[in-house]
Amino acid sequence: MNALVVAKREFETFLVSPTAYLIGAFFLFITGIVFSFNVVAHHQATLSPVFEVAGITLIFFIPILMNHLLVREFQRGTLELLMTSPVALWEIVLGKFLAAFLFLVVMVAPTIAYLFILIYFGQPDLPVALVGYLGLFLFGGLLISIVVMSSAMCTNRLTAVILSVALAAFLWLIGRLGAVFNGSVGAILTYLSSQYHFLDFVVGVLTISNITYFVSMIVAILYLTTHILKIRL
Amino acid sequence: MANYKSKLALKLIIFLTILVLLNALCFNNNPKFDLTEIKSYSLSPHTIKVLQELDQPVKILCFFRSDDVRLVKAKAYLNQFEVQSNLISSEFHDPDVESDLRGKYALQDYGMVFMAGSKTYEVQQVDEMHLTHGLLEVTRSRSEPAVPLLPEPLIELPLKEMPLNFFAIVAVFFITVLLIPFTFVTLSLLVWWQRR
Amino acid sequence: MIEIENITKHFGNKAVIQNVNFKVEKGETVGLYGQTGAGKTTLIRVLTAYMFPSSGKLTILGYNILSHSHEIRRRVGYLPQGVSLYGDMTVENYLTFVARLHRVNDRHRRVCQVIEEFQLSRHTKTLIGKLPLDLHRRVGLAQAVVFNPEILILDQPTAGLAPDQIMEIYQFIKPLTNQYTVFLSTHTWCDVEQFCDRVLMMDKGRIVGEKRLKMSQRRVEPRKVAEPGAISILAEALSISINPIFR
Repeated sequence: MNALVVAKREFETFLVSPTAYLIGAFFLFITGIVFSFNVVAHHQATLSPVFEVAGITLIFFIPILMNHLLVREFQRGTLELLMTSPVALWEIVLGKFLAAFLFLVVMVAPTIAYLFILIYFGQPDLPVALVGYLGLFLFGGLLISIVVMSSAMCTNRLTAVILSVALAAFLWLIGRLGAVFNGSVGAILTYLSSQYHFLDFVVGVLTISNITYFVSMIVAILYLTTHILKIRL
Repeated sequence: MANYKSKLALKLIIFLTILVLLNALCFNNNPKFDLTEIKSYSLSPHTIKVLQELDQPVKILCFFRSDDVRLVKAKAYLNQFEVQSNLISSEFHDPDVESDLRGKYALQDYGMVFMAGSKTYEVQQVDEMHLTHGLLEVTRSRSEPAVPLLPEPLIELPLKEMPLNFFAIVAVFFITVLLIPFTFVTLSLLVWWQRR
Repeated sequence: MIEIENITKHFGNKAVIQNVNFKVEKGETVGLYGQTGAGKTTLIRVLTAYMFPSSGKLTILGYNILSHSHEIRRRVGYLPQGVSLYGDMTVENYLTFVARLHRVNDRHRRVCQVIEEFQLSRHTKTLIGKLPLDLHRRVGLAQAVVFNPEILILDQPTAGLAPDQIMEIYQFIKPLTNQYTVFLSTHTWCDVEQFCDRVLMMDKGRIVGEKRLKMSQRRVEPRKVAEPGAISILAEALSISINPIFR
């Protein structure tokens, strides 16, 4: 499938980008500090605080790291050759998403060392940690899809970053409105909030509706992105 | 072009409707798996038994400000209560906004009022133990003895604390804050050098 | 191979190409000649299914552009104007990437073959972004033919090159005109003389004339290029009949 070919090419771009590694290093620095202080201050064998902080951090880091996905294709004119190859628009969008997701995995993977440290020194709740990672990757996938959509809409990278952060923050915070309204309106607003779903994963609770929320949001945003590209071209 | 746009709008509406319905279906039939070792985020078997054995409707009125943390906790618990029993109903009010309710229910403080028949019971602390106690208080008959606040001994919580000495702490700090990020920085320098 | 009937393309209210009609037969090399802004690139982009026409019928290799654009893209090699390639990829990686997109069998062998053909052996591991313009153009040609297309579309293949670089690129384009059906656009008459069996003259979005070139009219040495805006003078010199309203 050509989406995988596009994804491979884009992933190689991440692997040879010094900036990507620097941003990854900064992300790991922050999570490392949170982990260390949690271990030192509370002596608790849990990764939940790390996941919570990682999620909030990714709201800013993913747009900064991945805003170039489609913007650069437009700016450099490389989209023309791609669009005249036998690659469908959805394959381009999916390929970009997969490449970015794979780099997210590369960036988060070193935090497995934290789990090994906890196993060595204490008795962490392993299922809770695994569910936490699942939630982090699902939430990261949602952020990546937002960035892909923003980069399809914008003509320069700064605008794409601002739009992505704004949309991600809006989805994170909309649940606060849900607390204000009663009844169905409040329930819908709370359900739309990514924070509401993500925090369940952080504490080790796995629900079908949380998984459905993230997967359906990712699919909807990528589908919308395909049509945005079609209109823009 | 207008035809294309209207077809696109229709496709989008159908697609989004399918996703919304899927989410609504999952929200209403929502299996939950509490993977914590001590099931911290699930109702205890005792509470579930109390809920399932309810024989009369219980209305729970919650009086919290919109920015009160207890409001979120109360909603979470009452959602779970309503899943276990159809006889539970709840309402949420902000007593600062609806000030007439203070007088009507003689509220001393923010909290929850359990109502069943002619009985009422007020609860200020929002945790499973106090909420279950509230249910038992409003549903017991006059002849039954008062329910103690601690119906069952709590599960012994296995401690997840780590015995760390100074060197262990330094090692943890070194690995997680320095070594791992530094590895990434080194990779970036290698890549930059190679592409120079 | 290519059949265009009354193709029109609008951007907003402006018709960039209007009522274009022509055919390209198998094995032909057809040139599209016109000054800057005539609509050549837009027409090329419609032919390559990068854009779709606002009206009219376009059939390439028997496939309708609107319903079978995917099939057309699989069979058409394209060198765009400006040739924007992925500067962060090496020559070899990029050609392999294109070959993979087109599902070329025995990819490695074909990529090596194309690298030899375009004399890029010394630059296989060089980043495309670091190549000089002429080599960059050669890589562009290589990616257009790596999957053995049936039609080759070249948009101003010599634009921006120095005269010696142009002579060099001619060496690589010439064999392609014998192997493929080629449609190329240019504002340099020399390109037309070098390669084309037939030339279409384009001005203000319309095809204003057509001429079949005899073998004797093709020159090997570069001539002085006609000034942009001198379409009617050139047409008169070549005895191309031209609609008076375009004088």
